[in-house]
Amino acid sequence: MKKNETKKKPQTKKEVIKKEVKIVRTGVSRTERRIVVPGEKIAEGMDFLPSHGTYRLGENIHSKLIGLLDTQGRVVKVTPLAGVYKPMRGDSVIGQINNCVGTGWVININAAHEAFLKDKEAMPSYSDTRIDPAKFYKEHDVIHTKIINVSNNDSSIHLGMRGREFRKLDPGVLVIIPPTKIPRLIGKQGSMINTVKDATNTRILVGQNGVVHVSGEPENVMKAVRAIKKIDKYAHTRGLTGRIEKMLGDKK
Amino acid sequence: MRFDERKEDELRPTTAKVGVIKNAFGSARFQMGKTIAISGVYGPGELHPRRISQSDRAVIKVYYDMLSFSVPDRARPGPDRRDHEISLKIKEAFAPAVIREEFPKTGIYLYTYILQADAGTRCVAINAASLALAQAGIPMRDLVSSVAAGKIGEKFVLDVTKKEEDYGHFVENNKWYGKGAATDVPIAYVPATKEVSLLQLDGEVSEEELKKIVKLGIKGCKKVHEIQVKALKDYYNEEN
Repeated sequence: MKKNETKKKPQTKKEVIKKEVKIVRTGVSRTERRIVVPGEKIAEGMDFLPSHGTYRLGENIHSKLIGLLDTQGRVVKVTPLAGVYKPMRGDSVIGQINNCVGTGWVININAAHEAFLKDKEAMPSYSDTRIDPAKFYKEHDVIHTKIINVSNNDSSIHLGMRGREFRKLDPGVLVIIPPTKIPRLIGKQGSMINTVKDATNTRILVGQNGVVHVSGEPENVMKAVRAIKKIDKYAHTRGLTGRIEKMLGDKK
Repeated sequence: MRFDERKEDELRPTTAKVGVIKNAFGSARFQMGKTIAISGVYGPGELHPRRISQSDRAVIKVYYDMLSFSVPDRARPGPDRRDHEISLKIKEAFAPAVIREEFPKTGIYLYTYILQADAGTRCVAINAASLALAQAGIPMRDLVSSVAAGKIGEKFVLDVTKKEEDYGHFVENNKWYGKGAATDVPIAYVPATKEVSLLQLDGEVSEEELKKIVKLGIKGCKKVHEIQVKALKDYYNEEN
């Protein structure tokens, strides 16, 4: 009897510990996504490493943004819920022409600084140097373009149009959302954006700078815009795809 | 007891709401007693005029104004000497909190308007502006909290009202106390780094007394900070 008891006890203990570990692991990835505000203490001690959106003060880590807390092992990160776009080389973005100057265009891409598109990047042939830039893109035109270079302090952003998908966009509606919410808008392998596209029968182009271009029949476009705004507003909640499907389904 | 039946270290009824101006990147409304401030933030973005930009950090442009109807005798529209001075003090109050190095050569535009004034307008403006900056996603070491502490007669009080500033009296055992002299010390505090970023003094106090007043003020700022944090979190949780 005694032998059996002693044998059983450690087994149950191990099982309990295993379960607990599982709970903790899933807990980190899900329930830890709480909202933090600037200055909030999010980790204590030198065991953790501060990543994006956080800073170390003494031995502790504080948030410096309003955002969602993410802990991956020892690394502590805050995903911002607001803010302007931080330009990165290689991003495909949607911008609006602010100004035509002699050597190209000044373009607003929702970043802290205006971006520049050189005339040579946009014009088809090198030899036609006397073409007036204004004939290609006019003020207020919306273009899909790519960032080819960003200076060290983000203050000068150069754009390029090399590539089939980069072009002037048809009339449509621009929706601007925080760039950090773009992954949610697209969803896993495009599930969310495809839901909206299919349900509203519109063409939606998403720029990595948080600018979304929606075109199609005006009525459908407005419906899609409403859905995108809802996704932006509720991006940090769970079960969103289902609710968006329901919302678009009801109004069909 | 004070005119409004508050305790010495009690704040006026305080409310805060985030996201009141949809066009702005971030905005907030902050009310302490009868003083109300509204604040909107745009940026970081292109700075005009460019010559005031700094190559290693963002420049905060503060615009503080008291609206005509905010005081009993109509204020002349537009910022006056006092408003310009307070704009500068607000800018300095945010200097240790906002991490400006992340957006070099840009400008952050911060607008604060006083809708109704009953003393402590600069403090309420800072509280509103702090929430607006946070909502705009601008990196900060902490929210800046602010409140005025002071001395009425022999008593140290928190969050002085206009009436107390002017008359300098309080009531105890059904009798009037105080010499008709009030001292008022607005304080702004950054809780995370434990820095005092605004300290002004209007009146007469000894060194020892000032230390006590500042201590009381910091205690008040911490209370304000709790209200600010709650307002910010409520904005995102309400949407659920």
